Amino acid sequence: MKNKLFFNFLKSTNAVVGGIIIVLFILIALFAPFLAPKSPNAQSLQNVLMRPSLAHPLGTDEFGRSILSRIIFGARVSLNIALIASAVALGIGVPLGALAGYYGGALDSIVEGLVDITWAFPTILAALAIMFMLGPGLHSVMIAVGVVYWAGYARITRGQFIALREEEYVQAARAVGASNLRIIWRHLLPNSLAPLLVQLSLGMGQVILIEASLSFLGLGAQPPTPSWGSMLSSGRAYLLTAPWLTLIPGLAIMLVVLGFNLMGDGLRDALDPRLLHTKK
Amino acid sequence: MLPVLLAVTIIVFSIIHLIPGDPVRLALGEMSSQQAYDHMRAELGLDKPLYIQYFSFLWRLAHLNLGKSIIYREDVTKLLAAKLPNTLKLTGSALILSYALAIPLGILAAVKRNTIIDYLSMGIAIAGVSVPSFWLGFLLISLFAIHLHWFPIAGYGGIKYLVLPAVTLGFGGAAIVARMMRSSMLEVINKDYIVTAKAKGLRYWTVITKHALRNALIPIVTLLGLQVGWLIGGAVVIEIVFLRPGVGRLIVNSIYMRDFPVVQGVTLILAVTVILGNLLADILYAVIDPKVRY
Amino acid sequence: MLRKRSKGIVWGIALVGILLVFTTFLAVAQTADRATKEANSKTLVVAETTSPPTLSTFTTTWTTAAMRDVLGNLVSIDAKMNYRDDIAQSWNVSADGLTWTFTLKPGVMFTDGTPCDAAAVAWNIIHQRDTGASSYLYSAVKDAVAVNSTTLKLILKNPFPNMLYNLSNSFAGINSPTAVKKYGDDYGVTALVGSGPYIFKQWIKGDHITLVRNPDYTWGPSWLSNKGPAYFKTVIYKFVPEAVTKTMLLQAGEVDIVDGVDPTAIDALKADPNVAVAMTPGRQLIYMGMNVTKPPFDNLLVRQAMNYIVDRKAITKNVFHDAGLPAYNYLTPNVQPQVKSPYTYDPQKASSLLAKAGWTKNADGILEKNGQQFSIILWTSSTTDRVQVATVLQSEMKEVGIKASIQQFDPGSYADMFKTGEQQAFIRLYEWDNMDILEWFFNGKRIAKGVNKTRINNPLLNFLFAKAEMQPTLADRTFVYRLIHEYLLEQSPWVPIFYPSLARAYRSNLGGYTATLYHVYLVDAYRE
Repeated sequence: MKNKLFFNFLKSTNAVVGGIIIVLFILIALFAPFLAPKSPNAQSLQNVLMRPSLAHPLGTDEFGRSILSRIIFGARVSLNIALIASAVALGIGVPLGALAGYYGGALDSIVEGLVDITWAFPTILAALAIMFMLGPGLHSVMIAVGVVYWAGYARITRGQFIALREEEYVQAARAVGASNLRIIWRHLLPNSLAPLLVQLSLGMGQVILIEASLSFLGLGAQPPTPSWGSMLSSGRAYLLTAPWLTLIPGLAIMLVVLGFNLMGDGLRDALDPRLLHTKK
Repeated sequence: MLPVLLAVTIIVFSIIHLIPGDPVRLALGEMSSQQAYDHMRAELGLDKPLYIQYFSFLWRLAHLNLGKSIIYREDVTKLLAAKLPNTLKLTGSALILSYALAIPLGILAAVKRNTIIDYLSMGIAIAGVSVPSFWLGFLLISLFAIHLHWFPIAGYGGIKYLVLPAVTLGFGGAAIVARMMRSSMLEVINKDYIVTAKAKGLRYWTVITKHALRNALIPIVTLLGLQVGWLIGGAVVIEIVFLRPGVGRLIVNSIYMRDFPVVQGVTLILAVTVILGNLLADILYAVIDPKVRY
Repeated sequence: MLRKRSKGIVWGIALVGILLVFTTFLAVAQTADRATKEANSKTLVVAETTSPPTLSTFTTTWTTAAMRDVLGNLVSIDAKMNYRDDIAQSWNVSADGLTWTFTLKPGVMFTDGTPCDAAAVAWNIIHQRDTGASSYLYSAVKDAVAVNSTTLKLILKNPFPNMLYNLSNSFAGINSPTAVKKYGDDYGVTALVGSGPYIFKQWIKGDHITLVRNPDYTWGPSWLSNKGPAYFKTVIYKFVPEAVTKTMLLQAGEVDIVDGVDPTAIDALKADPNVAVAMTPGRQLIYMGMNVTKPPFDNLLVRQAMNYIVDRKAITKNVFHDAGLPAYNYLTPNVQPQVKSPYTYDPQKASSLLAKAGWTKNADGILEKNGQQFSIILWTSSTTDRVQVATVLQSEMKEVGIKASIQQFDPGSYADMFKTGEQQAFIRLYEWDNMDILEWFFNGKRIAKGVNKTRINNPLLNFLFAKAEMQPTLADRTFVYRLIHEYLLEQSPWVPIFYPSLARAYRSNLGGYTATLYHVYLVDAYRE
């Protein structure tokens, strides 16, 4: 089953392209200190807003910092945000979804109610309000986004559990006296992973976008943290005089989010081979 | 629906009171006198305990009164009435645009499955959800307003002011619809009756448009309701970029100014809209889905 | 004799005739001139950054330019910073400084048809003093008496040389008492009635304010050239928070005036032939404040060192694109008393001062004292220019071995944070143009409310502030404030960094407008 999934994934062009982008992105994040020509925070007020050139490969920003270095280190920040915020969302969503799906009844109604309430708020507004409560900064972004996105994971886990709990092998496990926890952990959860993985891949892209929007609304990373969202947001004032300040982080965000989306899409196709984009 | 809404009011009320900041000081200005400050707090009932403030909010709500803005000193309903049409125009046209773009793309991708056309159209659609909308907005402004002078930069008025913001917002929505359209179309194309129709020698495009499309559109219709929340969230940023006096800009400003009544009132209205959208999706699905297929 | 006289008469008649023809001609020319100007000048759009909450000075201390166009002031300030006529024609002050007598222009009317006379002005002053948000403006006023319709007497509790400043202030616009009473809570929300050149028409909250010309306006300040109603029929104040959007709107001609050009936009606008940029020293100062009651800034040497680490010239040139001046004083450039600051950009001097205070560099290049690292939190509001200053300062501190991490707050909670007293160092901006700002920020009695953010409570300073308030003349007051200013520089609770210029940009086809430090007067403005 898993091998087939992997095989199908490889057959999907979109997924492969997405996967390559994400692997590159992770490598850049991991090896940022070796790749970046300069420190991302080294200012040079004599060299502000320099056009891209040999000396400054992607130009410099309003403090004369190397945009290339900031983009490279920014990959680290973005990866961090995507991972931790998603972990928060998964950490809330999966257990709740699992409980609701496995036990049903009142517990299910409560979780469903919580999901409905969460979804009643437009995402960006909910994240914004939580950010205001916690104050600006990357940690707040991670928590706010995690809290906002948990419901999707809960829904998926619940759906999978409901579908799977009557399956033969689950019944069999129950018959031989396996504990509820063991059934959830050994049987239900592993078989719910695939759709969660799809959601995770799409969700990571969304997290990076939300960080950018929060920066735009004035609540992003603390300076001088090189987050792509805050680069994009503070660069927009120079759109007319130094457009590379916004173009470059914008393209970086677009590429990585595209990567996550293509990968998520490919994964979904791999789960449902009828929809595959395959090479003939 | 009512318990959810009640929970929404409690959550909004708690969050906004947990945010540090003093709306009265912000409304009056830092150098204002203590007596004006005390007077205003008393007048707005902000000197009362929080639970009393919450219940008086509920009491007013029961009388369809959303209270008065602390900053603008105007009824929240009045503020909303002035802003809501602008937001509806934006989200409505974005919705239309996204469907107008996504449905052909989705059909094309399904029909020309696994060709370069499929990859390209899905690529475009996915790119739509992969860019920060304010970035896209500024790029569109620089290209179409600054360089080509086709549209005004920002503001509101006639339809020409609506094009760029609607495109920016609609582009993001198109991806989800296009993707759904493609998969729904693929599912239908492989159904027996289509295969039979083709075997009968009906022209390919006739089969596609007459038979397949009709059935494939069903799940798309239900998407409509689900996109309400997404569109409203997107409008927040778009309204700021394009200077449209809508609900999104109002609520962000109100959070910044700690204008509790406006934030409470507007969030509640938005939550109702989103919930109604979801309800609509459910109803549509139940009504159309099982019976229409033949 | 007769002939001579008749000759005289003839000459006289001729002269009168010529004069008559000439004045008629002038009048016709003027009317023609007015007609062309009015024909060309339909709608003027001014872009402002922040939208105000309400327009009533009784219920807010926020002001916005539109208020000055609708309300007149008793006294105006011209472009050369002299106090001049507005609703008042002239004034004098008694020798003891306790009685101010104003002679008002006759026939000034509010646009609701009620007279803007001495009684109306007196009502405004008393109403503001007793119930208004800006009651401090008139805290020295014991009584305001309308002697007759054009004579107003202000009787003061104590001599207050700052009276004209307060009266010309944008918080001191004169409202129609009838309208204030009639609209009640809605005054400033749905209505605003004054005697200015424009009439308040519509306000889309958070977006724009629309004004229309007051056709009866003939009593404007004498230093403006247009003695009649304004040329532009409609004025729209548009609130545009995004710096780059303002620039784009102006360049595209969708906006005529940008009041408050962002430094990031200066270069682009200067290069545009259709736009004229005007920069004058403004009323703002961006500074870093330090909490003098908390380590490490409770040490005078450390505070003084901070004043040497900032390269103000580089910040001015490269971060703010010369849209302002490097700041060394605590008062803005137009405000007396200016004093000579001892501080320059000299990181070495800073290091030696820090060493003297016991801070030495460890192996990682970070300052240490008794095993403690020099590590601080630098607060700032999330407003662009302040974040920029914080970012540069953080890097400059790093060079001398100070580890600073920046903590941003949104503007709505920033002011409140100072009540906690937890601040170490903080970036702030103030906008004021009077020496009394020093008393506001450094008087020990304002610590609890979070106004005195450095928490300095210095007996000598407190004594001098009290003394300054009692000086009968401006010269004496200035003298005391000079001592205060010099003493503050030495005590170094602040690091003044940058004076943002008052930068405005106009479409080049706009003529006639008169810009002062406070307002762009639109009565004279017309489109060429």
